[in-house]
Amino acid sequence: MIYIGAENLVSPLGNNLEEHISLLEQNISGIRSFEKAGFHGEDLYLARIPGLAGKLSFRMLLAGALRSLKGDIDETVITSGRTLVLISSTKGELANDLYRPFSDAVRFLADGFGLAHTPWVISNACISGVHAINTAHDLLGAGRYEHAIVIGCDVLSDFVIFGFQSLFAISDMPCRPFDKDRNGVTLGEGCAVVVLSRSAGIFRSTPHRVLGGTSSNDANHISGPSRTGEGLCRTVARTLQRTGVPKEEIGYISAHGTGTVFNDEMEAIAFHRLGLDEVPLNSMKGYFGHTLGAAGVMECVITLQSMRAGLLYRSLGFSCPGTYRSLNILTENHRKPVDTVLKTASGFGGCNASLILKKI
Amino acid sequence: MNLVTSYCHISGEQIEADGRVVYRPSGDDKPFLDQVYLAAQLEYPKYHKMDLLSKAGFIGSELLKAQHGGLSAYGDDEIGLIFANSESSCDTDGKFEASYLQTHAPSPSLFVYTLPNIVMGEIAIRNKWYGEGIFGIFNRPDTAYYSDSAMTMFAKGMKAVLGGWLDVHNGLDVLLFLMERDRRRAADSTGYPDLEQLFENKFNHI
Amino acid sequence: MDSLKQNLKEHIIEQLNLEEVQPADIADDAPLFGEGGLGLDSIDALELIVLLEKYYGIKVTNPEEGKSVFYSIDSMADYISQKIN
Repeated sequence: MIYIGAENLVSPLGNNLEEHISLLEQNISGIRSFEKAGFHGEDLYLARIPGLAGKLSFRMLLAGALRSLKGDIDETVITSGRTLVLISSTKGELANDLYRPFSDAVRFLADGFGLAHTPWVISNACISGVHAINTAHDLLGAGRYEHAIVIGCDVLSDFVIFGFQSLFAISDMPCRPFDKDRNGVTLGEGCAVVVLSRSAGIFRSTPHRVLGGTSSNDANHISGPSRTGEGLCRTVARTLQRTGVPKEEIGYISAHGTGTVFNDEMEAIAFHRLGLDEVPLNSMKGYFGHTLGAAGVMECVITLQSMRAGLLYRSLGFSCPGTYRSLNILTENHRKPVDTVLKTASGFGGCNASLILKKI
Repeated sequence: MNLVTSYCHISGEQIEADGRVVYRPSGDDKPFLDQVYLAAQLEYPKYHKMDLLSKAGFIGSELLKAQHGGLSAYGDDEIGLIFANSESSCDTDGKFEASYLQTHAPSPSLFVYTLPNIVMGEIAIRNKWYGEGIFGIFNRPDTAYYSDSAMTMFAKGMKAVLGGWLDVHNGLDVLLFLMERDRRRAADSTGYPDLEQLFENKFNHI
Repeated sequence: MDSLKQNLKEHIIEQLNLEEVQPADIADDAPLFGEGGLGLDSIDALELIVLLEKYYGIKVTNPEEGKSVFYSIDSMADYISQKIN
């Protein structure tokens, strides 16, 4: 059995999970308009962490994530020879060194904390976070390590902002996943951490379980979502099959929901094909934007919290159904005990990933 | 137990597959990979749109497929991809940065290649493979990353994995290999390198 | 107009890395997108928007607008000459 817990995160909404909870309950968004943030000097909606600046903010966030664990788990786990740290990120410390975007930050973390093994950096576009948790689960399941610490982190940069602008993919309002008026993503930045372990005893609070997950490629287009949701269907079906969870047991889906027309349509098609279209579902992008490589870990952190509190958050930005296939999108906060949850992610390169979290 | 059943090593000087040199650059001023694309008669127009990282992964995977000969026997979701490098997508990242800093026109077709995992998407599209895929970034090749990922992918239903190392920015430093769950090389190939030996030999080959 | 079209074809080949294509291979009225034409895709369409700005100083703010403009060399040349005159 693989346990997961000690979840924490930093986003525009706060510097730790505690600070997030009441804001999320009030459906407050961290998205703001930023003057002249765009390539042509236009204002853009973004989810920026206040005060986060400088070339080294990526490594500072990573270090903060590791430090946050000290009260939440048996501290010796961090430096144990049976622990692997995995970092999920797309652009890392690009601002510091475009040609070696992870090298220094990884060394800084390994040396600074005395980690026993060099961290793995998982860089699979927007599925990086879900994929890193799956990888950690699999390594623990195979007995290669006893514990794994997964940190998801990406920081905003002109590079990424101008890139998404060049694709005409940035929303001119705070993003509205699955809504009929959605017209793009709102980019965000953040950092989140979870700990996986074969032993429940290392956690100060009761952990949940991660049953595992899979990934699948659309084999269709490097930047456009599949019109049929093929890869997302395949990964979810494979995840259900491998974890032995009947789809009727899924009580909630933490979807990807970026707010682009085609991505959200693709997800709706896939969930419909999978017979999961009636399961309560949300996207967290309306709260802290799309944080790319960090997104999967951040959204798992919120999901773990939702499971603890028995509270599913409203899918912020959604008011009118806007996908050809309808979904059961949360228009209000919903108090409900949730036992088994499906988390999904999809990204550039045609990649898709999914995993299942379950209460003990 | 050695699960490696084919490999190919691409440098600026040559391409070696399973111990034999299969291509050397001609005097022609085309880039080496483009020469190989023509010589191997790959006929895949999308190749020309790819960035250097994707071209290297594409050429390497095509050569491995030819070398192996029997990959099509596997189901479309039975082949996993395990790639890594030290430089992420920096070769294209630099070009995209130049497109907005110097030419003042951020290029969408460059931007879509500014993620290292795009090469796996290109290989998946080419072959209609829907299997697992992971891209890791390490300072130097970490054989545990490959063997552990292969083991966990095999446990998840993959029957073969195609993977390797793809650094392209400071000259081609590419090593791709194929590992199969249920197939071994014939007994006469004693001395055929395993994963450790492949990467050990990588920097001082022939 | 003919020199504009020739010019445009050269820019397209360069901007979109159409290695194996010569300007003479692109018929003025052939569809640029989809099967049967040049086989361009959605990213190429965005790159054509960049091209219009870079070489002709024309700004397209809504990619939807591009759809009819980028149908063929003829339609692109019409659009460009309209905008710059």
